[in-house]
Amino acid sequence: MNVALGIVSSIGGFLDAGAIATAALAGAAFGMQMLWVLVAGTVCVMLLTEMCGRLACVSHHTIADAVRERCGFRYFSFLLVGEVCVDVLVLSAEIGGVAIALHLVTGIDYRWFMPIVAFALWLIIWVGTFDIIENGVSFLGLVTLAFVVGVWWIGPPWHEVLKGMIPSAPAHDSARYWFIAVGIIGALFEPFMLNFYSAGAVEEKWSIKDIPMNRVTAVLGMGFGSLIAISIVIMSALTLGTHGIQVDSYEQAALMLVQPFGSWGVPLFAACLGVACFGAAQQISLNLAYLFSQGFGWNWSENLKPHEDARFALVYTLAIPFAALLGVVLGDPLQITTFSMALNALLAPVIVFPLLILMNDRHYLREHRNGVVGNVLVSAVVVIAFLIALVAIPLEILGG
Amino acid sequence: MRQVCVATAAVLLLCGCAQSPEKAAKEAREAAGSWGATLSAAAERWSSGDISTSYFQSVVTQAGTALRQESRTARKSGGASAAAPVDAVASHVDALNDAVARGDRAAAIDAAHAAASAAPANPTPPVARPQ
Amino acid sequence: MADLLPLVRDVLDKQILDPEDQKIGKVDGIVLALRANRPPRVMAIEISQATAWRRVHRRLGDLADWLRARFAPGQDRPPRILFEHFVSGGIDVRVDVSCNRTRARAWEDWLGEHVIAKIPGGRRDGKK
Repeated sequence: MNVALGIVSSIGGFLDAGAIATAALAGAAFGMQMLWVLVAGTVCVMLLTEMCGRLACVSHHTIADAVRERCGFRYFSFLLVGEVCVDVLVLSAEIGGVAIALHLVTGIDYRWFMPIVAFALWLIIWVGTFDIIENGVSFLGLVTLAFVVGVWWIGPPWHEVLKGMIPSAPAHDSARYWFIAVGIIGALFEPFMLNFYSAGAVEEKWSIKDIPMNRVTAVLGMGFGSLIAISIVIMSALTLGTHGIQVDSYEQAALMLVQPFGSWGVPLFAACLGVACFGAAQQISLNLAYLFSQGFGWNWSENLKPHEDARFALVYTLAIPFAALLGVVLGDPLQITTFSMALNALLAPVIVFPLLILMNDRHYLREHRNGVVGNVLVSAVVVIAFLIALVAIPLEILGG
Repeated sequence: MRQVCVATAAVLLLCGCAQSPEKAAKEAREAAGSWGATLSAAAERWSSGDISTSYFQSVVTQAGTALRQESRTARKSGGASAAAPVDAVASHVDALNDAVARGDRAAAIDAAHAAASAAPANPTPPVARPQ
Repeated sequence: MADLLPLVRDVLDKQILDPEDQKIGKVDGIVLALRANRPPRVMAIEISQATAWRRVHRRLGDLADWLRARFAPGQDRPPRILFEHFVSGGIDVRVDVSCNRTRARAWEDWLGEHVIAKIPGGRRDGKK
């Protein structure tokens, strides 16, 4: 159950439209050169996830709760507005991702699927419990192991894979390289995933005795997502990049599984994309409701019946159709995805900075506060996130 | 302070909007090569039955849309010469559409290979430290 | 020496819980009573979107006030809990008055009855 929370957070928050798109882009454009970005980002996300879980275990408060309580309403309002804007955009990209997955197997224009996907998403959250959502996505998300199987089948040059995990400067196209790196980091540092994880821990009533399990969950869950994302980079490099195919659309990305799986390749890719995006869409929808409810002190829980937490239910009931409509209006889901990943990178410091304060607050963490190593690592993440955010917009313009 | 921020944002936006002709030409060549390679790979897969007709049609349709958009962008910044490789690949899309509609796999492969030859792709070596 | 209660650290913006651990809301504002020639006295804690948003910008508070007047049924002033019901502060604020005796959930209850319950599946018996 606990590891399922890690995996579902990973499948929705780590491996989603953004991660799939940026990993495919990275592999096709730069071969194995960018694997180190994924590895470094994974370590950071494992740390942050563990901290969010520990906060929930000890204080029984989520990040959104604690940020308002410790940093005040003014700071929280800034975070709320920023995160709502980004989350709605990412939600529309995820709904679009599911619609594109259905388009890949049927040939029908993805826009016809947007309202259907939005309705299915709303319905599952409306009638389902946290356990259903968590275990459903965990179970279905195992289909993404297709990328790992694909790598094993193709047999990459392992020495190149290992070399790619060591940081290096780009040999060419620096602006594009760092733009994709920002996209990967933005896809990993998704604020909604961190709050969803902490909210999930509170929903499941984790306590101090669950702290060791929280560490295992954070590592295994994020590790699972990372394994899939790394596999996507390798598959993309070996099946697309070597033929000169760059990933400018999901249609191109879908070709990567045809070599190992033959006629099952495209349907498998569609299944992976669909499940990952649907999981992410569930997380983001719930996170929007969590954000408002926890920030304003409303009743909240996915396990309550809608009329028992009416405001919580109203938030996701309004957000989902709005995001779907936005997706139809804005168009190309891949473009929305890559743009929203840069926005994630901008927003990341707004979440990570207060987390640094909270993880050292004895009222929240008591004797489970961060040690020196944890503080140094989080500080480094805050600085990196801030620098990435500063660079994100000009790179988006130059490299995008 | 507000005026400085607005001016900075405007400069950045203008920089983004006004691509150099060389950059426009390079991006157009890369896009043309990429889509040519995509069409060639997809046509071969369709011919061998590894991908469905509906998916292959999606690829061809998406290629046509992307190439038209790329051609417009390239013309704006670099003129007709920048858009030439993109237009060369795009000229084979109609033939591909016809071949798919007729179910003629041999014709589809011919058209796709012609598209790929019109703008050679730039393969990325699957290595960590390219020379 | 009497215990000190840092109002900003241990009261403001904290989750208010009733004796059954039901969430009442957040402490959006603290109401002080000004007294002539004497220090102000903490009179009540306030649960109000308008109060919270007014702390960001006056106009946002005015907008929240307008929305409350337009949509909140029969609420002409924000819900308050008198400070005599305050039990403890910290990361949560505990009060000894039940959630149902405050008006904090008036809008939620109205929403539940008039909007959510009308959507199929919105009001149903049994476990979810």
